[in-house]
Amino acid sequence: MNSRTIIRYCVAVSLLLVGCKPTLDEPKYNAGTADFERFVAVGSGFTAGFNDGALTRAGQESSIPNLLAHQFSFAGGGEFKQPLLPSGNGLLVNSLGQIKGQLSLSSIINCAGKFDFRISNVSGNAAGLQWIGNSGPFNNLSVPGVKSFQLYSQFLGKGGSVGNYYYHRFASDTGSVSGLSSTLIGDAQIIDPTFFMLWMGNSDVYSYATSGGAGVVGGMGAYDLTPVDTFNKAVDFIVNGISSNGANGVIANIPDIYDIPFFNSIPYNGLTLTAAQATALNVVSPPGITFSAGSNSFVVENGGAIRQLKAGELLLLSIPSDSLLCGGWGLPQHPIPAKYVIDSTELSNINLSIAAFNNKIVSAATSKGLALVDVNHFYKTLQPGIKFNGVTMSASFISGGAFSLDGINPSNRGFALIANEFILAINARFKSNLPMVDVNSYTGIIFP
Amino acid sequence: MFGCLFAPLLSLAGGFQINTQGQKSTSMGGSVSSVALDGSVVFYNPGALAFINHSYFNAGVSLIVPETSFLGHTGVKETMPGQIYTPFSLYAAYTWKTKVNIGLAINTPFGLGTKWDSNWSGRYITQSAKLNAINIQPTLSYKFNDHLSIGAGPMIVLSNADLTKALPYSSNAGDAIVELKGSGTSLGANAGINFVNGNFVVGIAYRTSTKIDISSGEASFTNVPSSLMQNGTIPSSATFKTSVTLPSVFSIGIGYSVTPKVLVTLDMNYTGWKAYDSLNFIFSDDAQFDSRQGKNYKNALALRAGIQYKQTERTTLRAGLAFDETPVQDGYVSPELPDANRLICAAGISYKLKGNFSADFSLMYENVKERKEVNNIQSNFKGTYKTNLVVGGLGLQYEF
Repeated sequence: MNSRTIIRYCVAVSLLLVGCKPTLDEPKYNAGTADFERFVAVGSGFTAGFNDGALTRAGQESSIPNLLAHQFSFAGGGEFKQPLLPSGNGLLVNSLGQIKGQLSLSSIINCAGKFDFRISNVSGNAAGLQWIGNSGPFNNLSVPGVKSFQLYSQFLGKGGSVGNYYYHRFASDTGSVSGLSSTLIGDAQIIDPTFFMLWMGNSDVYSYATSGGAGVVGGMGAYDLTPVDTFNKAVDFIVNGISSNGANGVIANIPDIYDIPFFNSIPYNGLTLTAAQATALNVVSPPGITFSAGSNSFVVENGGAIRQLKAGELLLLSIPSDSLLCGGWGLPQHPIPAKYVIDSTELSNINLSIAAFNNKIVSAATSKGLALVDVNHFYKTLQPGIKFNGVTMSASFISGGAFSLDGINPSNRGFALIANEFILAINARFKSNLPMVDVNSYTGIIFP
Repeated sequence: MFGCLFAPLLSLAGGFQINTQGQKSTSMGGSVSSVALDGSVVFYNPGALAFINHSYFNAGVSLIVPETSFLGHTGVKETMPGQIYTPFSLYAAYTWKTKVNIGLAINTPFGLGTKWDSNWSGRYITQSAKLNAINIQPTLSYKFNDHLSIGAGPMIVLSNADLTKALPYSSNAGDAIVELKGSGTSLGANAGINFVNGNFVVGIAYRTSTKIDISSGEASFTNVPSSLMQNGTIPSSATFKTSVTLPSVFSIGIGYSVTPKVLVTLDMNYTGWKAYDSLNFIFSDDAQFDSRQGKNYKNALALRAGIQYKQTERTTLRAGLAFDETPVQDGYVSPELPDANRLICAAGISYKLKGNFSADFSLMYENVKERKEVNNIQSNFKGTYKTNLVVGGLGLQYEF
């Protein structure tokens, strides 16, 4: 054998081996018994993509329905059109039409002289209010702040104090002619959906909770807890309406408020005192209020009187942080105002409402054969934290990554985590095999 | 936060062994612990060193071209960008006295390298991982008679490791990155017995485990959001200590000269991977960064077969087959070392050049079985891995 033969031999074997690239067949996805061709989503801010305290283009693009629609596209899903805002700063609009932008995190030296984060609104983008209802129909009919019974309200699209500015911007009819607007459920039916997602009831509870129980139990006002009967009727009406053409779908229940950072980040007994401070305070405190060295319950205003918080009662993240840190809030001289407190009665009202609403959601899912996403349970697993592709995400405010800067709404990563819960429920119910969303490709908290 | 920072690395055999420690041995599927083909005998079986009749210098290098793909539960297939790794080996085997031969091995029996796209879906687990370990082994071998010999030598192992991954702390400039670097020296030993009877040879070799202590590794953090540096959440650097135990290997091989021109060999290796039970990183000044990961490796078996044919005075052809069992158990498969059982085919040729020189070529193909990780314990990183490796080797020998 001469050297030329050897070279030939080597080349031949090399060619043989180079052809051995690893093959990994990508799975074929199918919809199972579901039909994702025309998909609509109906819900509130959680499904609109509202987070960091505002509706933003980036949040809309990461909205749970949009993420689901992308996964559906592997298995026959069609176009999914959202009423997108212009890019840039987002939109937070109150009933008076005043606007702000989303929250952002900045690094400051706080009143106690330490490095800290400050959360503040950027300026809003008024162009977001512009009516785009003529460029529909839209597949994502989710409106921040909308309550169950407003999903079929003919006032909602009118904006202003009677309606909702977020719906007003994309309602197919704002009621300028007839005085009555289109309804969210009506706009959803225009799509003639083959599949729907419904996550309703959050605003029926959270407006009461975030206001520190400002409204009444069983009322229809902005800060009230929606009456259970009203909620039940709304669920039936919406589910029947949206599935009237035979569409199947997925429905999610309501998480408990104490699993959400806005309600659980400030401990009721976060007042830390030295023995000397406690003694001095005890001298000036009214009867019934006592302090000792170490952790103490904050003093709050409650029903015109002041008292110390009890275990289980909640303080809201909306408390001005400097007041709590340096302004003496929570001491007898500066009781924390009631609007920042959920006392045991209010908490019980909230818990009873959530339990009743969730019962209805389960029975609607059962009777219609819908996939059910137990977000309530999922939020409990988020407390210790869950791992996705090496990243642990938890419900801890800022550091946990799953919730956005408003402490109530999930971050974009949180949306993706929840979208995966929807996918698991859909795959289980309809025997589809949709792939998971890559949670880590969405933003969590952006640090300065 | 540091979960899976320093898990082990690519390799050419189960776990992070590299079995291409010579071109002749590679060509025969690594099935050489009973036979003394060249200077690599110092490493493969110090006991057989006494049976060489000539002295050898061998120098060799392998070009490892791995191809690894990952298909995650998000349905996206990702492939490691092309990499080439070049483990080398140097051997001297010297016929010193009638019954005593001496030798020196400088080679790379352990190591690993994986490098994924920096923005891939597993970036918070690993972006790149590298472990280099150089073994220096002076060896003495004694022949009792024409049938039996023994040999042994200390192993001095110089190691360094370098791992990077992204951290889930993002600013507008993207994720923070941490790089861990460390080096350490450790000691072990390699010993063997060789028994020759007519056309039959039997070799038994044992390499001890060796524990690499990295006592002052350095973690450096880059692209960290400035606010997290200011408030002390993340330092710019930190020191850590860790240790990695390279496992023991027990080998037994037989060889049979079918004709003066044809030699066949069979080998079995049993690698004590159980020693690699966990990987812990301890940060003496920042205990919050400490990470403890279970690895839970199990001992693993490899079976090897080889054949050598002296075609002409100048040309020798070789071929080999091997099955190499993975030490990585379900639940512990991670992208730093997406290991699985391997099937190995190899072939090679030696060609006598002018003077006392000859050249060795080897080519090896490793088919690492497709492996599906359903329930990853460390990182919840689920998906299917598939790796193929092509290894070309070139060696030069001087014989006298």
